[in-house]
Amino acid sequence: MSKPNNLKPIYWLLFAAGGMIAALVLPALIVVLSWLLPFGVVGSADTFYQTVSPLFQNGLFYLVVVAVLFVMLWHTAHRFYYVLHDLHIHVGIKTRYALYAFVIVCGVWTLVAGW
Amino acid sequence: MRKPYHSTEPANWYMEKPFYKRYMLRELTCVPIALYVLNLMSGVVALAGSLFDWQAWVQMQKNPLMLLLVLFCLIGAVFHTVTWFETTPKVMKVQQGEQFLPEKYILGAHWAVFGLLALILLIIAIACA
Repeated sequence: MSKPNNLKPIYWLLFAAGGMIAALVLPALIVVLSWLLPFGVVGSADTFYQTVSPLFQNGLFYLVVVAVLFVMLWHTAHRFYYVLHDLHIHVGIKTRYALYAFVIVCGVWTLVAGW
Repeated sequence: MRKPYHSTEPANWYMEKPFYKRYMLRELTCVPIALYVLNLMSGVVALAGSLFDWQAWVQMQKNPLMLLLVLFCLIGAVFHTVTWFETTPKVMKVQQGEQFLPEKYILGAHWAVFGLLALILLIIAIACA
């Protein structure tokens, strides 16, 4: 008998949170941060740094930002595991955990590197 | 002995019908989203770091290959938004007496929030930059 996976609701909760945040803000975030700001459409990228950087050096704010990025990446890991299944690529629980581990490593790296 | 179930369907079953293809594309939007989130993670680290780090990240966004990659990410992200919102009325049923709130209201509410957040983000960018 295999043990039921009690963590499954948490996996799905993180997926739902990440998917919803990505759906609500990611397109706008992409346009503003990667296009409008670098090409000076909304102003100077240097001035943006001077204004916003102190906020990102605040621990609590930075933690929230990293948490948001973490759940969005989790959404991918979780969904990608099921994509593999749909593509008839037979992977086991180890691949699932490896995908989640990748997300955790990326999240921890962002937190530590920017702290 | 463990006898795992193997489907008898062909592995490219999703190419059969447009509906299946759309489903597979929907699920695969997670890949461009991850690529952009990784870019965003390095951007956030740069923003919390020095001005030099931030300038390097901004410069990286202007790289022609990066522009192409970001375009791919944007297409994926927009398709994710469209398909994610489509499912919301099915997942969040709002009951009113004997009836359910019409799907279009739930869908519309999500698009309204999407538009509002985009506007707020734009105002923040203009105010700060």
